[in-house]
Amino acid sequence: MKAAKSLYGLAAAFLAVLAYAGMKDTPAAALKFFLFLFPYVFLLLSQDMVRGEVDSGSLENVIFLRQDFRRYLLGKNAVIALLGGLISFALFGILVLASARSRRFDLHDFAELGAGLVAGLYYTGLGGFLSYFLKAGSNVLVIFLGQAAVAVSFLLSAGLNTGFLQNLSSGFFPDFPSRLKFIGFVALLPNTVVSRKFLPWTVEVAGLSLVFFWLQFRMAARLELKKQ
Amino acid sequence: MSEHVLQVEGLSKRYGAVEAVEGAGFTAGRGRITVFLGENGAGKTTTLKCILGFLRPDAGRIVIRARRLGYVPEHPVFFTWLTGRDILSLTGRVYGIREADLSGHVSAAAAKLGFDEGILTRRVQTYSHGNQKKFSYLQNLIFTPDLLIVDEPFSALDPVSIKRVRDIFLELKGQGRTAFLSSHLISEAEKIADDVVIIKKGRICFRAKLAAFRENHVLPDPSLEAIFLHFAR
Repeated sequence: MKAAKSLYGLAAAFLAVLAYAGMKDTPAAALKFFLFLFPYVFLLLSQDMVRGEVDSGSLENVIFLRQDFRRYLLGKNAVIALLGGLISFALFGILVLASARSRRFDLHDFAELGAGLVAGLYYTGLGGFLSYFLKAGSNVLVIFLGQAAVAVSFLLSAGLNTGFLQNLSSGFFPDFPSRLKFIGFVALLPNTVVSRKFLPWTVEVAGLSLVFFWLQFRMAARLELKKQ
Repeated sequence: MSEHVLQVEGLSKRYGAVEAVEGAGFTAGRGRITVFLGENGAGKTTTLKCILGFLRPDAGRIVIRARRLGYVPEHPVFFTWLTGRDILSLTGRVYGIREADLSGHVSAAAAKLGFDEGILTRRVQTYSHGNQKKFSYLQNLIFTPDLLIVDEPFSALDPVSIKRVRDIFLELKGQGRTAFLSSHLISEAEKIADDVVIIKKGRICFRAKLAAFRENHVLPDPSLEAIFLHFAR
């Protein structure tokens, strides 16, 4: 229940940020905010996907759904992806309509939405995978903490990372190490690919998503309900 | 159609260095009540969980010839966010019970169990242990399983409810359905058991049709307790 309350709180905060950006600036600015932030909807929905149900014993109830509990857990990914997608499409539609007066319709918005959806799927895969190990909302929290740590480390070592920061701002990665570094960066902050200059990197995020879904498949296949 | 609704062959399950179940084999016949006995840690729950698919056996084969499989755990745990009514409604839908018919099924089953339907509007985790156990039976009875697997069928129940649950097993048996009960309460199990399987240190040490075993006068005392003490210790 605590997890559900924090989820509602974060959803309310997300909507408040969009509303604030829309009113303080323009609906187009709110749309930009939305496109960067909406993959988090998927991440928040993925909190406590597995461990809580396994440890509480309630997963045994899945037998009354005439399902194998392993398939049920994997099916949760599809439900979260669908739910996250529906919420995202609805908010996107509202914001596109709201910003129609102040700006011209831009097809790139759809490309960014697509990239964001891929980032959302990545969060579902990663969040689900982490929830095999971490209870309650800590699978989500650990990702937020990782992102915060990267942001702080960049702030504290901006002088040392000038090359990478320049690459980030230009969107061009000249050599293999810088590309590898960027893939690591995107793995921690997949929302990056929503930015137009990084759209081609969506393929990498899609690949990483598949890796985490495969890992979940492996975890589910080995999972046992030991606790009573 | 096979007479064995449940067939377990060469079942083994190991936890690290501990062999919890080793080459277990037994059956549960259609329209019969099979009681599964064993001391604490003998491997009863591990066997049950392998049968139900909750644990992956290291070896062996489990065949279930039942369209509708029911399960009452020793300590039932339900999805915490659902009320009793929600769970029954969901179960009913999964088993193709029409919404209009569901309340009839629930009332009939609740009456058999002596379960107060008034508490169905509450989340099940707020129920007492006894009511959670009864609710678990209720959930199973609304779709009348062909094979009902129960871990400690009488735990957490008062004497009146124990009698009611015994009657329910006999009624299911009368309908040609199968019950497989893992129990410590030998005195209660004896009143309804057709077949007995005893597990000792992970190995099946006894399996027989109770009536036939008694007719053979193998033991001077034919009570189930005597059989258990003779084979399981």
